[in-house]
Amino acid sequence: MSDTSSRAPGRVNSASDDADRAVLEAVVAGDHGAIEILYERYKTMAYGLALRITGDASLADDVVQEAFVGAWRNAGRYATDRGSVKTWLLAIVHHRAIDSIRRRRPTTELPEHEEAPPPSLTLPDVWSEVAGRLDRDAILVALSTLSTVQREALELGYFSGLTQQEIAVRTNTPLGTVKSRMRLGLLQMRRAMPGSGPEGGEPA
Amino acid sequence: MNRLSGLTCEDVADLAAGFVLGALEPNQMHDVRDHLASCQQPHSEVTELGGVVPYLAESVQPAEPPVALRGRILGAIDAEIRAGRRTDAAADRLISSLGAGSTEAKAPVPSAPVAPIDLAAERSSRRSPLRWAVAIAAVVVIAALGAWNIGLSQQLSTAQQRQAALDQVLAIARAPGGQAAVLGAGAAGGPTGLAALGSDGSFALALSGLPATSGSQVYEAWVVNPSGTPVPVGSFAVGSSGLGSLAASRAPSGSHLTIGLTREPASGATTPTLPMVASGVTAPGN
Repeated sequence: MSDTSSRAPGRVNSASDDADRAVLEAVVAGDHGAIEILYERYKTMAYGLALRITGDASLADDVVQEAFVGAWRNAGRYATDRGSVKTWLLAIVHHRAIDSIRRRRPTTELPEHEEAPPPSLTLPDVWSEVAGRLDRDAILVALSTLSTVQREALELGYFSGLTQQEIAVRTNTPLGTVKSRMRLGLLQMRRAMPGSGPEGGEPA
Repeated sequence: MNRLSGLTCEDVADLAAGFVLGALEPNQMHDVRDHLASCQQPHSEVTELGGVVPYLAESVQPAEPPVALRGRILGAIDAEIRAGRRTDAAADRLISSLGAGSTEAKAPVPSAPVAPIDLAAERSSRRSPLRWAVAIAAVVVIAALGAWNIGLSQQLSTAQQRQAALDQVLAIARAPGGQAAVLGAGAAGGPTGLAALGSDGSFALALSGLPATSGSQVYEAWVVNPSGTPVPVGSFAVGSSGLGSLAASRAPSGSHLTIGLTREPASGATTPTLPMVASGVTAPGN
């Protein structure tokens, strides 16, 4: 069924992207069993992400359930030119997980209604295509090239669900500094990933 | 410099990193999204920074979920199927392909997660004159087709037929010079659908909710040419699914033409037997 089980987590090549798209097509066509294939293929990544964000096994269960039910419901919205099925699924998991922890945080303003997840823009981008074939180790090496404050800004924004303003308050840092740490952190990560071109690819 | 949704392009560049990480206040997220959807500037900084975000997700240590979770998820999906709650894929594609904004189309789906933003699609959606018409029609189509979601597994062939028919219509509508029309009966509960007319005379339509034909009866599609004469384009029969589709060539071309459907005792009609079962007027489809 899954040809990815023997690979390192996070490593999905373009052939399996195509396979995922075929599976998702079956989901769209109403094949109930097809969602099981996606679940088996990505359950550990999805659960790992949900657990990392919520820090709570029971909440992570709920998040992953909501995410896969949401994926089933909205499989018809997935557009092949917007990135891999894996990226799409993980963006849904991230969105649900952030929602879940913000709901528990009384001081955080919630959106009036459920709207789009924090967008992971995956427009056609050669760099992303190349990076999509890298395994988790390469991503961790790239992350390790960021400064501590850059990593902290990304961590608080992406995994803790804090807004830039909340991060500024929590870290007692000017808002402009938080913004530039996030921007420079993302740019540095991009540069440090193998395949980013001659100017990058020099992990420390 | 563009100032849209209260934000300038410089504001958006400043907020781009927070935006792609989802780390802005809800109103800021909304403003940036609005700006990107209507701005003609490339905003490559958003793409560049956003391309990194999926790898943050993948940096996380994978973890094995409880064995029981699989059963819970499948059970929840079974419940969804029984409740008939699901985005209609064909109608949804139709919305995005013809350029209706996804915001309006979200209505029938409670708590819908949305795929990552597609700037090009968002932008083209704002320019399409058909946007509102198709958004409204698509909601109608979704409602009309909604019943098909019940027991989907038994009705795959109908779903596939419908998908194929809509794909045909969309292909013509989206081609350069293509025109599309929302077809309706002007009464609640009547047949609804879409038709498209290509600049080369190609024609396709897809409708649902049509009463079944019997014997030699057919539905005949007509295009009213610029001089006001209804020209028969082709005919088709309808079974118990209520789904009707037609693909034809040599239809009159032009803009803002009326497309109509009549029920005829047999194929080969040269003048329409009124009343019209459904009709609509074409508008540029891309």
